[in-house]
Amino acid sequence: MQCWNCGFENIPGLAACARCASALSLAAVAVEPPRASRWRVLTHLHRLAYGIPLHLPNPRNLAAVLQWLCPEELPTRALAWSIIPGLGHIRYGQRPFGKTVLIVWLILLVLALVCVATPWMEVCIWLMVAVHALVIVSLFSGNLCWERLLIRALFGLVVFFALDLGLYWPARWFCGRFLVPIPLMNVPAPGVLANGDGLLASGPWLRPATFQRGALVFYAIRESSGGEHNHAAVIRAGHGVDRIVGVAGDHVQLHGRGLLVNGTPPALALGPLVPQVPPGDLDVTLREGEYAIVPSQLEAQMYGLTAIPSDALLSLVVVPDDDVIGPVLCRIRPLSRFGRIQ
Amino acid sequence: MPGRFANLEFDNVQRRQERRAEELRTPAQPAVDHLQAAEEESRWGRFEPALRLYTRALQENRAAIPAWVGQVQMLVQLGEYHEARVWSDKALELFRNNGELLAAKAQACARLKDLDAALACSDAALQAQGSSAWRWTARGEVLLARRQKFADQCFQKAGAEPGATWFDRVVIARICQYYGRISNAMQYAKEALQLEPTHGYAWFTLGDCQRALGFMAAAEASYGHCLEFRGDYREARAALDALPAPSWRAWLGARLHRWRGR
Repeated sequence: MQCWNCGFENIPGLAACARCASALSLAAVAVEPPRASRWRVLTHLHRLAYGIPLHLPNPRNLAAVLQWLCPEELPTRALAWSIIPGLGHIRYGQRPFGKTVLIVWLILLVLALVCVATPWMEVCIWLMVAVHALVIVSLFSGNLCWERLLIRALFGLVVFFALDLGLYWPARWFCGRFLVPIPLMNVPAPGVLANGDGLLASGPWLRPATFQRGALVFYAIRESSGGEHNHAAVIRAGHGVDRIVGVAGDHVQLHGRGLLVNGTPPALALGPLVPQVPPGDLDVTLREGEYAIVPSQLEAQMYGLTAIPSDALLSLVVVPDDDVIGPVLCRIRPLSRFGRIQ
Repeated sequence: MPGRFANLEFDNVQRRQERRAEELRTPAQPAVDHLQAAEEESRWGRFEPALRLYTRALQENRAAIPAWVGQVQMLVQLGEYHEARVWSDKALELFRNNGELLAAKAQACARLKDLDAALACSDAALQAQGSSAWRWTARGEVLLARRQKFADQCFQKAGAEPGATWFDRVVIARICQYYGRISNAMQYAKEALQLEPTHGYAWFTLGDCQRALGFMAAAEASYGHCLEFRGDYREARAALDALPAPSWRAWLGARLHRWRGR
């Protein structure tokens, strides 16, 4: 083998020239030079000081700015296909990586579905976003390979949050219009419902126009308070799951611990989930677009009172139609109690 | 009858080396095309595209030493001196004691103010086999950086090398500009123009020197000449637009430059 550098004729099989020690085989040599980071202020200052052109793009020319940010050609088609992680790599040559990523992402998706209505679902979704961000960042590797680790990490974070806000959050919002998983926490009186249960409710786009008495619904509780001076009751805003006990035109009365709808106590299947009702007195006739829901699972803070004042109780029990999110379809967790809530 | 020692070289080493060097100078056609395109870009002061083209040339032919040298030179021109030094070290691992690469490393070291290393590399470059305008140019830069005498002699020797072209004078002019020797830079730019009066970049370099010295009208004319030869040369147009209006500050700055630049 003849040396590329000095021309010396070496015996075959040598890695370096016997005369000048230059490499004889150059096939595996990387030829892309290292580059200073575009964000390295020192380099720019140095260029400014010595009149070296900065080569900054015209900010009005978007194409030039993009070219400056990403000097290496971006695989735009692969990027477009990467809306599902791995597909871009699979279609454009990097099959093993693409397949691996796609399988991991699908496994996480299945796990998220299995863990629906538990905190683990969030963890799975975050991991899905992280895998997705990794795929996107890998497509920018040509532009990032000479950047510092900090820049690469920052870019990864930006991609992560961009994906979360731009893709995953809208997807979750869209799914939430149809089905709402409800993890139950802080249930004060476990009975029909217990801590750790997971329910599935219809979202706003699948919700019926009106509800019948006895319908189990997922609804929003508005913050309310009543009382004077140091004697008050505060009911925090949140969400609740309970049965509708009265519809428009019904006369609902609460006296002490008893509930009357149109003068008679409701049947067990039409009353609140737990027969225990909040203490207080109430006498109201429901108007159009109003439902009566007596929250049997209520967390109220009472200061010097034994019963909730009438005004607070009124805003608690009478729920406007807009606050009813949807009917509860079934219990999905725990799996041993999967099915309709009796 | 061919004997068992027929392939050994005793007295024809020089001839074989020349033949090998000739082979290296004529690598595969795509590499040659990229190399020529890179040199053309670099002759118009477009270092970023030139660097890319040198890389492409190397992708075609990793043994093209001029492309390795060109990469280091472009990194230096882009102000990325650390990277230039790292890259010249890597190239020198592959092509030990190559004179052109040593000269390029000397330039990178000089820009990094590692003047001892620059001098050592420059010495090694001149001791290496062969000779070229680039090695003497780098030597001149090292001496200039060390504020030693004889830098001009080195530049003149570079210009007197057999293969020296107008562009070597432009390179020297840019080096002189970098070290604030604007008058010298203008002299070399004029020499380059004498050799190649039809190339716009020589006019552009001359215009830069004239602007730095405060000869605004002359600079305007030089940039205008540059644009005559290449109307789409946006650097010249930008420089023309950025020419400052005559003011006492510009006049004072020009006087200072003329006083400093010998």
